[in-house]
Amino acid sequence: MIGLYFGCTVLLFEGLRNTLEAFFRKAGVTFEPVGIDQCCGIPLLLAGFQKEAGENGKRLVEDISHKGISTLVTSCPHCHRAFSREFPHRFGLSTPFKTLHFTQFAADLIQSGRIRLSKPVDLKLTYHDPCYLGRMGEKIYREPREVLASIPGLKMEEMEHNRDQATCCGGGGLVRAYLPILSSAVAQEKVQCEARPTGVTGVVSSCPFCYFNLKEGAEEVDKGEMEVYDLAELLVRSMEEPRDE
Amino acid sequence: MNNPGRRFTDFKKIIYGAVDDEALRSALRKAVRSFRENRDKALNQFPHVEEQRKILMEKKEEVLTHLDEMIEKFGAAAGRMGIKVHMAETVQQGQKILKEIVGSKKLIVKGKSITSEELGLNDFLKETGNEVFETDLGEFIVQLLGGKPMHLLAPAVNVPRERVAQLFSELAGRELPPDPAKLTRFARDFLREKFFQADIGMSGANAITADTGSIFLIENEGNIRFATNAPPVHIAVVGLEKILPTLADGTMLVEVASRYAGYYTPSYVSIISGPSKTGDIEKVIVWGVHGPREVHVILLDNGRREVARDPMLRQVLSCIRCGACMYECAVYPIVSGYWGHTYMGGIGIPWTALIAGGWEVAAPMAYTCTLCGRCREFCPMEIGTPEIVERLREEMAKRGCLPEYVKEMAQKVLTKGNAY
Repeated sequence: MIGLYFGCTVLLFEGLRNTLEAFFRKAGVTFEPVGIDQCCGIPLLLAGFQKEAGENGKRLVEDISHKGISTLVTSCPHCHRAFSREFPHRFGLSTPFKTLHFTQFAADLIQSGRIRLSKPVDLKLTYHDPCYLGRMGEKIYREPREVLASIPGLKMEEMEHNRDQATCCGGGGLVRAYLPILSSAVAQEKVQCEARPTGVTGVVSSCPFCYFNLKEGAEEVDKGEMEVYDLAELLVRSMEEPRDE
Repeated sequence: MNNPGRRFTDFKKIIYGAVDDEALRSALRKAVRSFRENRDKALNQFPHVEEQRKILMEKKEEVLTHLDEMIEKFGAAAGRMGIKVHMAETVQQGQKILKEIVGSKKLIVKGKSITSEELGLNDFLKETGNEVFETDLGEFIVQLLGGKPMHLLAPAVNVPRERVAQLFSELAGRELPPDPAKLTRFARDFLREKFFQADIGMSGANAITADTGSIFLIENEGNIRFATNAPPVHIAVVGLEKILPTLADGTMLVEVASRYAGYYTPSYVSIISGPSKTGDIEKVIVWGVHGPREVHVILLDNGRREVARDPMLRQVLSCIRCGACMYECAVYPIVSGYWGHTYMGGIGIPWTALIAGGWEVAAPMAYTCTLCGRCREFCPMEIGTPEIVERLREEMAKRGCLPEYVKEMAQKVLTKGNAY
């Protein structure tokens, strides 16, 4: 069974949550929602509460294991890092399920022909690598790009610094909780110095933190001419409604 | 600790001040762009540096795991060459040693050195009745401003030329134009006099080598050469982590540090292995011919030996201060050295917590790092700053040194199951 771990930041924003649910509905994939009321614990870890993050993780992994989940899909890169790295490696928890980030899961479905992307999305965008999906996580660089490349009409340009060298959006490490104006300034800098020179009209990300932080920053630059997109949202736009079986 | 919340709000004000500073932002943008170009050029031109930095990483690890042995070797080698080596366990001891060597009513010229700032050198020397001049142009400007350095290698990265002209005009007693060449010329004339009048020249060190007892100094301006050569006494204040096993390792560090800092080759590398001497008149040894008759090295521990005992934390002692991490950071190019104490930026967090400043000072800095890990990608020593900062935050949280809202978020996760 596929478990969908929304993550509390995604749950906080209705739009992101609806997009995710729409994706699964259009793909015709049933899922078990998990962890709706339980955070992955990364905020605890980043705040400095390691022991508590470990205990939180233990409860969470037990809970998910009891549900008979075989594949856990996370939409937030922070949750992804928690399940794929922190739980097994830092806290020594055995996770008897496979953890995939949403972009990996979507790439698999596209490759196996389970979903068809037919409606064109006529935009020219650049992809922002979230730190926790990339260099600070499992280095998931290929799948999000594959997904974006398979959307008809969508043109992608790389920023000067990408993948391992991608610059941070400024929203990580709980800085947004302490210094939100600094987080926004970093995002503005990214939009101006990295995204704008590529000649695109928007930035797409696959992390709720990056998404909101970049969005907020982009609004302050060039009268908000640079749009910010969530990767799942573009995907859903391009997907057909499921055919009746 | 007295009022941890206050430290966070004060720091926030400073950071937000920097965020709003348009001039600072555009200066930093320029600095980042030119740094990247220069570094990439330098690394492409000398591809063997990639191999060298890996060897250097091993050498640093070797030194840090055998620190006492290395200190002893350096002491013996330097002693053989006539260098007086002093060991300072703490800042207070360092200052005491310094006072004994310097005394009072001396004119002192200084080369740029953060380690000396750990000792609060300039203030201490002034309080003990001496006159001190910074001679690195950037540091000289910062000293006149009464401010603090904003970057390891470009201390006045945030100061526009007009402000420099104003400062120098006041000093000159005449109007100087905001022309970098003319301003530099003024500094040259002004400081030249000081170099020759000075009783003591002070420096830090980029490396000291255990086999030969040598002090390595890298620079472009030539001020360090003057400061360590013209006055009759040279004092180098050196952190223990600067020891390398051999002279050859020292030359390797010169290449790695300068290329990663964005220089093809630094204009000057000084290797000082003892006082100036001659035996040219009847083989009678006379000290202090054209260079100093006395050379002192003050080795500063100030917490380094303890850090070196921790396999994870000791990475921070392998920092060669090339400054690459700061230019490649997400936050530093917005806020510069305002994000710092004696040591700045992300790498400055462990240095502040463990060596110069303490936990309370370091805590607001720690929660200013986005933990994005980009610094490590560009660090020649591959220092794992994000993991280290995460670990330091654990200690800070234990001490109650964390931002109020972050604490609330953590509590919400524990009680409600989510962070909001």
